[in-house]
Amino acid sequence: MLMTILNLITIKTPAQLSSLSIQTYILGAILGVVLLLIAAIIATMIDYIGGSSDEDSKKRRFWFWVLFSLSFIGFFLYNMFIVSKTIAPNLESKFMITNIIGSIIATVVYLILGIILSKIFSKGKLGSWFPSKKNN
Amino acid sequence: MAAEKYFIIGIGGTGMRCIEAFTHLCAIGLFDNKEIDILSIDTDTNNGNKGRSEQLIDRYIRIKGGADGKPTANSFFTAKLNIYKFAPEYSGNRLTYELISGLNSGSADTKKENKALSDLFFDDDVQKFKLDHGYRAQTHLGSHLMYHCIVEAAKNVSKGGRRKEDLELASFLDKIYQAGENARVFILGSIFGGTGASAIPIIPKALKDAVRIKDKNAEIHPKAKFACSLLSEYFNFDVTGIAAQKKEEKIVADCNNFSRNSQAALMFYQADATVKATYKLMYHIGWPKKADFSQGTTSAKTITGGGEQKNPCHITELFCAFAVYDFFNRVDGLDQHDIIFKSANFQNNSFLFEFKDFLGADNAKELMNKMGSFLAFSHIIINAEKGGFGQNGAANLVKKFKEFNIPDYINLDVNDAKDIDEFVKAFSFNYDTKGEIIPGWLYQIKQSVEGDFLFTTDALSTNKKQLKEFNFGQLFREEAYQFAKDGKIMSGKPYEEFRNTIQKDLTVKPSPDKQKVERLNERFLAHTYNTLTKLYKIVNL
Repeated sequence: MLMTILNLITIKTPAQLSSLSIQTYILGAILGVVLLLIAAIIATMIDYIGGSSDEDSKKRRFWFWVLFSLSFIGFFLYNMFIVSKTIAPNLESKFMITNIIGSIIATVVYLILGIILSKIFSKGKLGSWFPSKKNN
Repeated sequence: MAAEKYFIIGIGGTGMRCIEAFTHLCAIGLFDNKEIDILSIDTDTNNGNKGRSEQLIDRYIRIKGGADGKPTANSFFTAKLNIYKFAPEYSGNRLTYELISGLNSGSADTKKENKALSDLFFDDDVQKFKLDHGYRAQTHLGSHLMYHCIVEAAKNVSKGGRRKEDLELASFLDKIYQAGENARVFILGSIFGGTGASAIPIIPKALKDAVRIKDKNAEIHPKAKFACSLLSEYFNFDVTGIAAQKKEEKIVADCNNFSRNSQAALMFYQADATVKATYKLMYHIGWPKKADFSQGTTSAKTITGGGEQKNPCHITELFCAFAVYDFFNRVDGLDQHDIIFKSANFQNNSFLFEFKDFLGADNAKELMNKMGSFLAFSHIIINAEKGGFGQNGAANLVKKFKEFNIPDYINLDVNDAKDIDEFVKAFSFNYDTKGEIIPGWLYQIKQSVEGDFLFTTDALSTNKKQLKEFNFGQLFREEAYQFAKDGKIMSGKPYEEFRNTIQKDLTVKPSPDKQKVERLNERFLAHTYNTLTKLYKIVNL
């Protein structure tokens, strides 16, 4: 059992950890983009609903923020429960900081690109994510 | 050449329903760039059909901005309409012919002579029945009284009388007089009933005489053009209780006589020199079956008039409205003496109408686009935007525009939006509080045809579930004119395509030059019209 765990550990030196940190940040950014694409697909699939209710826009916003949360929590938990297992115990505490920064990168990329997309496609369904205040 | 001026006179219950059909054609945008003055004449001031059509026109006029409105083009609600309401005074000491004519006034000898003279023309019962429900198919009496009530109204006004109905008639007469030789006057009514049948032969002469009475130096220009519909019998009603009713009311319209009335009227029109000299065109419209106007009524009595008389709309009335279109747009053939016959494809005991049957092959696509787009607009307002479910559909659509950076119409008055809502419901359909369908004008027309009518069967379905879920992208049978077709990814949702087009396609924005739309609700209507026109691809935008 101990041997199996030891075999999983591939990050044993500070140099390897540094390299992993960069990979984690890049992966965080990629995850942010991927989740944003998923949010865009979901937003497009939600039909327009007529009438006085704002139901369709609310649904799109709901899914946008669900995926926003997922970008942080999901990436954080992934790093904590899967990536951390590959790191030597003495370096794990340092990786925790990397994990937090990577997760923040995922959410920030997701959020900034989401705002940009929403403004670019303000007349489309993505506009529901961040509706212009002057339109409310 | 000065611009033509257009006038319509709707007389009697059928005339009112013809005006209703005409107003709906104006709403779909068939009378671009025209200002049309409408005079409604009915002896029965509380008549349900009269009230319904006048309410519709009043709403139309409000949508167009009232007296300040202007004609527009290539959109919905393009014609400017003005309404004048005239009704003879049949109440109190003017309730019967006997009272109006003063048969019982004067010396005994005068009374005797008056009575003898009247008896030559009218049965005793005819002289005594109450006129507040119209002339009850007594056209000999009706023509006499209608002529005199118009002339009397002119006399009253010339003497400074202020009766509202007389003043409205006088204003209408002034407009015809001012139009000179450019006046085109169309008279709508039936030839088998009472008021319309009575009035059609005498109206041109009555108007001419009334103009002269108002101002002895004035006259309707001899080259002013008159046309009329000769609508023969197309409905009947339950007459099982008519014998008892006759005992009580003396004179009751009997639908068993409608065919004979039509025949007699047509023989008269063919032979009468005055009629032939007056009318440039007469549109004789007939229907092979008779609709039952008793259906749905609970009254055992024949409804002779009043608020209860709200007969459903019928396709023959739509034909009359298209006759108006023909007359107003005709550039030649106004002096010919030919009889031209036209029918439509009749199979399995029902007509299979196509758009070209109404406007001819050249203009069929225009009609198809305009009627289809307005029907689709109804579906959007009533179903998608919940106008049929207690909400303000047009106002909701305006809010949707705003949500996606098209705030252009956000200041649209809530009452304007409500008028649009109510109009489209009157045009197509609505739901009652239990969710059951209330058929509007177009649905009633379809029901009178007893088969498919212009659009796909589902488009005018009376099944509420089918109607609520109807894909208005598939109004037409021709695939080339469909959008949001089923079976493709992200398709089959017409409201999606409508919203996407309106939000992203700048070419559907209203054009102040081409469409002449200035007012906010006109721009809003033009925007939706352009969007639907673009989606159906029947005509180029």
